[in-house]
Amino acid sequence: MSENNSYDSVRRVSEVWEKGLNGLLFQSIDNNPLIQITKLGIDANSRYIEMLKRNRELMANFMNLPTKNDVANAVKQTIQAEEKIDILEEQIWNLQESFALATEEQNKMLGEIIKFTKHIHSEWEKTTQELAKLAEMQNEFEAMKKLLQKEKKEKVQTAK
Amino acid sequence: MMAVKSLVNIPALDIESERQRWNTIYKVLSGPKPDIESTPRKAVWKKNKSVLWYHPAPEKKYTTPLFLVYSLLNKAYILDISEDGSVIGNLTKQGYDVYLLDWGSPGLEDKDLTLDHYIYDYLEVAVKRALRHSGAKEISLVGYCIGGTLSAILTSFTDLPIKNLILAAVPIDYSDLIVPDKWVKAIQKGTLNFDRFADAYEVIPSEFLYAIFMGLQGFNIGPTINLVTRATDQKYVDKWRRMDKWMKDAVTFSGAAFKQMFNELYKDNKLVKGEMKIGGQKVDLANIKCSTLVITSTRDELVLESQSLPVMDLISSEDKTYQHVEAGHVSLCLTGMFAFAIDPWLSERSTKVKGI
Repeated sequence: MSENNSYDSVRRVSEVWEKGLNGLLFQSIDNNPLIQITKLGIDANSRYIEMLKRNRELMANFMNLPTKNDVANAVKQTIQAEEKIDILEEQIWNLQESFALATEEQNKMLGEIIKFTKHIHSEWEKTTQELAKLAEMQNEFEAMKKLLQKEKKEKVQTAK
Repeated sequence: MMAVKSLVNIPALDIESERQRWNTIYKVLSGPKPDIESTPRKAVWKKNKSVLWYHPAPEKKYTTPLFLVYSLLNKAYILDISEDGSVIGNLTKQGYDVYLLDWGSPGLEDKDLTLDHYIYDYLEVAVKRALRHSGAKEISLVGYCIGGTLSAILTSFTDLPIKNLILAAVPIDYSDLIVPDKWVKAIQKGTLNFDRFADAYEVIPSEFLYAIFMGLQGFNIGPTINLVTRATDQKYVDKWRRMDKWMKDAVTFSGAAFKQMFNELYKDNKLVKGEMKIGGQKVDLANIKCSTLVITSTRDELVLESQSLPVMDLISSEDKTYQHVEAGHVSLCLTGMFAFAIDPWLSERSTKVKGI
């Protein structure tokens, strides 16, 4: 705070006074009669408000007018609806999470099926290749067999 | 220099400056209340009069968001009173995503709302919503005043992942109050009872709560004197106007919650004794095991330090810290200082964004 502020003195004096007065107030209200008066005041005020409310409801009833209570009751329905929407929203979240989990599991399973199919496919290819080799071998054997038979026939004819 | 400075210091009068000063004071006292500009925010969830606000950090540094719970007896915008220098403004600048639960002001249709409703149907659901909205695995709960009491109760029984709990100016032990001894005894013995009053009014009028706050402050000429003293400082005048608006902008309070608070906390002090029941189950603060920070302020005119301290022994947290800061009950929030008071503790316990 500025040293030249002419109100600094006022502020400092007021702080001292405020503290002193508050101390005095604290001590002066610490007495039982004041508590009793407060109690009486609260009770009287409550009785007065109760009476006012009773009469207000009575009058409104005679005049067939809605009161603040009726409006409050109507609003309560809206609050209940809002609570139900919240609950529904949470249930939708749970469903969403369950779906997400299920999709994840499905994806995992699909991945495994694809992996397995790929494995079968490669095995199939291997078998096909081996089969082709075998067929080739068979052909070669056939050719060899034919050659042998041919040689045999030629030997017989020469012997004759 | 003089060893003892005189209280009375009368410098020369500057007519122009004085004219400007009293002109400002006249304008402030007779003009309309200022508009409160909040930090950028988005409503995430609304229920009845309550709103869950989301204040994103401009540069997010922590993945653990903050969830602020303010008192039921005042309006929450004190935490976001200006874009610059407010608690939320500072916290977002520090890199935290902030969620604020604004309770709203109950109407006649909310006369039956109790603390059970506030905790189960509003606070717990709001924390759940904030967790879902943020996508975070854990959250830090920050409770101020009665909001701290509610946060502590929620943390004691919820399954939600609350990583850190901060309780500021929190009333837990009601055996000692700010009012004179005889009044405390009258409340505790039941001589002074507000049951009939709460039933008659159904919803406690804001004027009544405002009168209680004013009464508790006694002779409170300090703010007015401060305005007169610093009326030439436009920044201070703007801040003063916002504070003045908040002070006079009291909330209503549900009659059922008022009765419950008065009888179970102020009269029977059940929370400390472990006898308080919320939603049919006993509240045991020993169930709080998360990292906890308790803050009290030196010049608190509403909640005594002795009301907050017992919570340190009641909770089971191994990581618990107590901090006593130089501030008042309201000024801790108003100056935005609260954000700087919790940041060193909180930053160590919040998960940092990868790459920082």
